[in-house]
Amino acid sequence: MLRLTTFIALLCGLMVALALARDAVLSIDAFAEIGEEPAAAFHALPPTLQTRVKFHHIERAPRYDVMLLGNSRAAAVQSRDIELGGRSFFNLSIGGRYFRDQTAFFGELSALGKMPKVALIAVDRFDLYNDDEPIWPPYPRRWLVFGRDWLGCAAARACDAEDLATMMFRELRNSFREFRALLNFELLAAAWRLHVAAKSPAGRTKFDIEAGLPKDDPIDANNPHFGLGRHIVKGLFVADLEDIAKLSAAVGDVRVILFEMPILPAYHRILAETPYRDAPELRRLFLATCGRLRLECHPTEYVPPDQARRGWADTTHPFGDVLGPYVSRFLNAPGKP
Amino acid sequence: MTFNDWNFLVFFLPAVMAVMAIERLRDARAILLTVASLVFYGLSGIEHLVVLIIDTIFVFAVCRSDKFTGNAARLACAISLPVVLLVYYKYLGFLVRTFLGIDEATRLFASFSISHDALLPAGISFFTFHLVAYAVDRYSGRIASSPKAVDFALFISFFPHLVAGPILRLRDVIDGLSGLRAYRLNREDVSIGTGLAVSGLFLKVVLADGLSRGVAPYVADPAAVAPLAAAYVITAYSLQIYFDFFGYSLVAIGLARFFGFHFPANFDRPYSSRNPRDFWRRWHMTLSYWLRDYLYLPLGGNRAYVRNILIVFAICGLWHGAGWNFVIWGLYHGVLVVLYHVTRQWWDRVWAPLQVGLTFALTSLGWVLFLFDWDKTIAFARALAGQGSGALGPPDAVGIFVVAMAALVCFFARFETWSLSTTRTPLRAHAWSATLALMFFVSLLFLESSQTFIYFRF
Repeated sequence: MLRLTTFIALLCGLMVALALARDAVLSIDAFAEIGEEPAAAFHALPPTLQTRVKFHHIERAPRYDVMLLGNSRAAAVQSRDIELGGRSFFNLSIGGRYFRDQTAFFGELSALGKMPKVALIAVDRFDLYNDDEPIWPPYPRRWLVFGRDWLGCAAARACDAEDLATMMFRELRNSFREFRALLNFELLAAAWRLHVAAKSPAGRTKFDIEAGLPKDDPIDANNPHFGLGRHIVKGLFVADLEDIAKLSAAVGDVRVILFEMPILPAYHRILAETPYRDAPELRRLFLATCGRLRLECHPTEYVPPDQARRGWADTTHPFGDVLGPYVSRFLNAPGKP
Repeated sequence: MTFNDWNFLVFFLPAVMAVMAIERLRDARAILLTVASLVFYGLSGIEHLVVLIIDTIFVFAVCRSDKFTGNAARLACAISLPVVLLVYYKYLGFLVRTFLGIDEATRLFASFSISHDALLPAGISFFTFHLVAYAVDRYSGRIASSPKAVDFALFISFFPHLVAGPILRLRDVIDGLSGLRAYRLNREDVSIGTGLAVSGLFLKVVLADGLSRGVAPYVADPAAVAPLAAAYVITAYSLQIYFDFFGYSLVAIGLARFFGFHFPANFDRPYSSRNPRDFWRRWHMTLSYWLRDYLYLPLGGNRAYVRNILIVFAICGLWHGAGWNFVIWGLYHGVLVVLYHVTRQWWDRVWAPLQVGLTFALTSLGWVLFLFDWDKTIAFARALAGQGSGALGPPDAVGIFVVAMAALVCFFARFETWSLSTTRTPLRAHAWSATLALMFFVSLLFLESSQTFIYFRF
């Protein structure tokens, strides 16, 4: 006869052991070992584990002067691409992320006492709709955020409750996926490969941004909007900006620069002529909120084609030599008093 | 939804078990379990669900009358719709391609904007056989009176067997159906059900899928397989299809046990068979018995042995898939059984391990027709004879290790016996529980990359 207690106890024990083993594998400071260009194995990890590895590095590294927070569209930038003037730089961008994640990351940096002196926060161009799931704060804090969001949504005229419900449902699915990721041999193997790559010079392979990004997105002039799904819930977007302002004000000596991402020059013209219906309103909301909160914010700008540069991996993913100078102009402009 | 799916393991199964455990709902258990089964099936496509429901209602309605017994016209009517739908969904493309040619068939399908390969409802071959068995049993009087509608619906749609068997008769589930109202999950059912389900999941997710990963590169380009690698492919795929289907059957039988249903066994260590006839008594037994009772015996049984065996096996092949490779596979086994029948006085005198080895080799060779379509089978046969490019050599040490482990489990493990044992010393009980926990844990590690069960295609 089966002994259920033995069965369940051993099963739970094995799960905990696995979680601990994976954390031990991931506890390596890959960025300190390899440098700014992480091993390809890093990119085989899911975003949640990539985030853990990056924060593991941040915890151990001295406070950075400049940090870039964004998603895959900002991930290609490295220190050689930006005019830093001798300042240290770390790119905290994680592929497949949403603006709410940047807010959450900003909060985590604050909690760790590792807020950079300058935080560059990339906001996806408002015409691009993105279906990525945000990384929310861990439970039980996540439920507080849910509650706050619903209250905020009820109070805000612009908030779309259906969007919010969709986001929440997605988040619940994401939580389940995270649980599944805990029990996944392939992810465990990917974590181990990162560990080996970081520890062994022979195992290091430089990340080729071209291999890590999607193929060219075709530009359809008749239907230029990606249709990837909604990711900006207006009421939440304002709440996130307020959080960023509060967190930076609490630290004091942090300069926060938010900028809307550029887009492939040819695509820029098409979107300028036929913007997504909500994009101009969202941009106005973004700038107005920034003005109210005294945050330094920049709307998207046209980046002229330049043959001398590698340019764009696809319509929305610039290489570092395009985004670096774009970001440098904001970084090196005089800040708000 | 499938058994090797997180949503099934984490949400569906616990939810259904929890609802079934509510005493206040005991009168509605059959309905609830039917609804749950339809949801389980409906998640693979609403159109498929409609086919299942229409088939079920139609057969039940036609067979309900007391005048059904002995009335051949009513029997023909009852089985007509399930058979027509089976032919329409599964064989129409094959028939049209065979009789009109590929070009004409493509033009014909395009003119109707249909693609039959994409529409095949999961498990249609299985539930059609359930329905036909029921109708024939009602006709012959083996089922004296019509069951309650909800019991019949549950018999046909019960999710553990719905998609890939075992193929049941009403008598196999009648005790479970009648005991459902009073059923309480007891220690014995939990023990046996968990043992079977976890063992089955392990065999599928770890062994079958592990073997599949080793075979995949060769399947992609059969003409490039070196002769030695071809032998590896034949052995590995033979073990893979066994663990895939045996694993499914164990999970199905184990899950049914959680609800008080005792399904019949579907496998009895078939690769330890000593001859082809013995193999078919131990492989997919519920299908073998179905074919015997509803096809072979009505055809005249042993009175025209060779003819009937060949007919039955050709249909058995066609049941597995709509393609000439499946028909040839069926006939191949029919010929093996007939050859054994003719040579049995010599065959049975051979040293027993040699008989087992020969039966395994012949059976494994036949699975090539399952693995490839006809053109690829020819290419693979040439590669096996040394006429391929030979670019794909034998597997690495890991591939050989996996096959060796699978072979050990195949010939020496007794998961069904171990699971069914309810008398153990405390030490052995703890050891068995720990083994199951470890097997379940390892299965979960590989669940994300697990593949669809092979028999879902049928």
